[in-house]
Amino acid sequence: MTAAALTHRFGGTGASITLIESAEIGIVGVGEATLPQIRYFNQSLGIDEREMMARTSATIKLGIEFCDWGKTGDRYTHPFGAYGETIGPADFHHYWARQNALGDAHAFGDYCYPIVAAQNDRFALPEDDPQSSLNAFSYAFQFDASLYGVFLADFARRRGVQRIEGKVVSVQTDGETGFVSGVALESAQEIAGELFIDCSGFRGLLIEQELETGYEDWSKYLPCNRAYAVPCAITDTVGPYTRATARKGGWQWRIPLQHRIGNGHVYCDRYISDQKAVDQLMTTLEGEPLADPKQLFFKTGKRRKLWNRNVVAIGLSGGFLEPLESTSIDLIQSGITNLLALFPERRCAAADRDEYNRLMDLEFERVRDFLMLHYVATQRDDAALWRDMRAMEWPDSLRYKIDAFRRRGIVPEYTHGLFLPPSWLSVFIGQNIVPGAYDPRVDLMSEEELTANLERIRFSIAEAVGQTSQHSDFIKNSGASFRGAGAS
Amino acid sequence: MTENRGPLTSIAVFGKGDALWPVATLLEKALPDRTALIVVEDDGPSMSPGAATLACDNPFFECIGFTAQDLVCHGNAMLGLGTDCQGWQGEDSSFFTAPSGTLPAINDIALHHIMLRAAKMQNGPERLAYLFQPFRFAARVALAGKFADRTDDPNSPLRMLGPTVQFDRAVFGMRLKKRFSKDRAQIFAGQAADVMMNPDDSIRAVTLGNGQGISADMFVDVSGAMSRLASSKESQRTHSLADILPFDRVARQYDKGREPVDHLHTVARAMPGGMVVETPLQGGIMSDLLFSSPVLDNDMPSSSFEAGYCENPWTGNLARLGDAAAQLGPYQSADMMLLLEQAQHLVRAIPATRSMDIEATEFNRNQLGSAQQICDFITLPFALNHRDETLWAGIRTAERPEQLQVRLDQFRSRGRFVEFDHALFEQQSWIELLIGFRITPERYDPSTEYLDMRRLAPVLKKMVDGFTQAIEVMHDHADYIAALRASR
Repeated sequence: MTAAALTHRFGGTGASITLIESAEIGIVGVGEATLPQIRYFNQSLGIDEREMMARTSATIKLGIEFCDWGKTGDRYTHPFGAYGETIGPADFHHYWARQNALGDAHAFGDYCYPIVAAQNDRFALPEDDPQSSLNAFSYAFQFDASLYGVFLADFARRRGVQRIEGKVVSVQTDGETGFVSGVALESAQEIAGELFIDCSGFRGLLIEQELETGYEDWSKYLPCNRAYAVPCAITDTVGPYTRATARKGGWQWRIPLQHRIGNGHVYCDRYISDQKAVDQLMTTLEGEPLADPKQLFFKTGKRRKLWNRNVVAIGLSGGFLEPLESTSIDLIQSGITNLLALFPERRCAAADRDEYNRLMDLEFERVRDFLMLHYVATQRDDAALWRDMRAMEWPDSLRYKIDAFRRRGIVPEYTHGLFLPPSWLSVFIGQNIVPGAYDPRVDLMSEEELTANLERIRFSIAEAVGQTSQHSDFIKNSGASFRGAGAS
Repeated sequence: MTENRGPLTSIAVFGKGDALWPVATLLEKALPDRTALIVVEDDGPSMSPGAATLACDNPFFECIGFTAQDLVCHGNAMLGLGTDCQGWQGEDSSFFTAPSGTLPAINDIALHHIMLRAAKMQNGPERLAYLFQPFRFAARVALAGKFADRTDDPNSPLRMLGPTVQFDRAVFGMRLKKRFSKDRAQIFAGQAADVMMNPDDSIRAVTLGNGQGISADMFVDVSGAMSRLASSKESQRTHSLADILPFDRVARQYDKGREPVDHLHTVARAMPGGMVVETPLQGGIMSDLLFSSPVLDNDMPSSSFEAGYCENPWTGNLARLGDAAAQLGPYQSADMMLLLEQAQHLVRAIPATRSMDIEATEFNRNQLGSAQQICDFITLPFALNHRDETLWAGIRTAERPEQLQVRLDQFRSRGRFVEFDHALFEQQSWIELLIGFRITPERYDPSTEYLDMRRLAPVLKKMVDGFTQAIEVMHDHADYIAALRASR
């Protein structure tokens, strides 16, 4: 992603961009689900969305279905879109809260187009008309991350990136500035550079092994530290959504692509053994496994500085907050976007580095709070992980958000941050945090008027969903059907 | 006050007319029938509240069902396009600050970077302000003596205009008072003389000078007279701005019949010992003088001034707004702007029950964000003044608000504007102000280096010519106002 974005921006300008990659070093490649922001990334590069889908086996993603998170048996969807519409001075969820308190059994998700569409396996592209039910949502993709990498590598090569195959065996630094000045490969080839982007994964070849930047360990907040991943065959229609099912020692993902389903069990080794974790995964696959399960190890957290001297860590080398909510690829994208906005000259001014680090720290912290919410807003009492998470010390910022919503339905808004109020609402309400009180301005509307408004919204969403095509038909009819891993 | 102590049944608002009625009007529109509104208007003698210049699209106007045009056609208000800052960079200097929408970027690069490169190519980075001036569309309209409304057309330069309304605060307050629905509230005249507290430090009742007792579940003070009687330690946590706004007196006068000299817009004139804001209205000019009494002799009646704002203006069951929470002065009508922001934060956080600490926390968080944004914006020209007097030199070297310092450092370093949560002012307005007050970035965005400046020249000329043509066909400012009044 980084090489593609840099070549797109600087290709043909005289700036030389070199990609050093080793086929011998495997990639994690399990970050297969994305957030809608990936569309902006693709658009900014001029990538044809349907071409990308056909090359990467991508399916549409309208949200994430969460199973068993609040209590065993619970099910809700975090959608990529808004709930309801403006029907008065208060935010929509306050009106729903009043109706809910009066005993109306309609789920909050019934007022959200992408949720209803996902439940019915339907999809149509968003419309520009603000009056349309198809206006207030976005979508993302579920794709084969390895194939997406190949697709972007082709893109970058066509725009002039120089790819060198090889393993870095040593790093040279400038004695005066401490800047990395070059790397040497196993082949003895030496490559000099002015700015180095470290996309080497957890080990942080430059940012940590050379510059010893340090790592902020957030495992006390997000304790999962291992995962098993395995693909399986498709047995039924796949649905335009990712599924995350809470388990006793962690949670399990299901990410449907066009040609297979990606599965994984994320867990904390303090709560479940490796054997039990892999057994749990393999016994709950819905189709034939297509490979042996692959084990992954990680420590949640982030580098103390994501940009240190003339090295910028992007991707796993910069940090990792676990796969829940598909933030991994998005944090890569944020790193790229901020780097392009603060792209330095040769000397890498401290003001640019400081600002980049401030922005990325804020991004990581706000994502961390949102991920934590899933673990701490639970009523599960059947396993130590969930009991411990509920009882742990929460960051003040998260405690306030939960408290404000629980007591008065307040969703504190921020200008900066990946997850907007609809995301927070979906998890709060989906995990049974229903406001104890609502905005008093809701009572300016009569009960009859409120009931009629809510009925109208539900009806218009159901009607709009009914007019859209099946997800699989959309893929087929739009020319986005998977052409096979070797296709180009 | 964390336990639910039953529904909120009453709110009592205390204050003087121009500050009281905007708040009372918003509350009257927001409160459900079960919550009584009690309005206590301070009937003591007071100085004229002066004038204000606010954006026509300030959300407050829409909330109360007013338009800026109403104030012009049915009062003595005037429409404008911003404020002419005279004398800030030396006695005869002038710089028009106009709210402005975003200028078109070229290859995702903001125009000021391109113009900085152009200035550097001419061996004079300090020429940036001069080269950038033709692109300051809103300011050019104002300085040409023209006026037009903003349009939504994305292809028209008029979309960049940010019309303002200049009005007499006292007249505005009176209009709101006349419109106020008498049957929705109990209205009293008087002054708070004593406050009776509950054991938990919340207010039980307020006794007026005539002996009448006012009981309520919640109290709102917009002038400070009432809350001074109930001051607690927490309410004293004030952010002082006394170093950067070292003025201790404020005076006001209305020169009926006086005609504006150069144009019909508000003028903010820096002078030895202080600054004066002159606001042209229909039929005269309202002057708000802010000054340091040891430096400037002034025989106008004046009242005390101490720049700063309260961090937690809502404590217990008392919310402080306006003068009770902050004094920011007349420049950019900061006091009025913050009051209206606070009033809107208040109605969004109306307590559902008599237990209101979570609403207080949310209000305080939001009002702090608004106060910081306004302070950053209004203190910028003070911090960047170029006057010779000791007082102004001291202002230049005074410690700046933290966020403002980050903004200045980032802009000075590479022309980058930093946004924080709770943004209130358009980015373009900031950039114009920074450049106009002689902040020349040390560097431009490195991507600018890859633009072919020779090919850009005709593109830029076309943009400027488009602006010039749009200005030529606009109405003269005075004609526009006259036609508007005649049309109603």
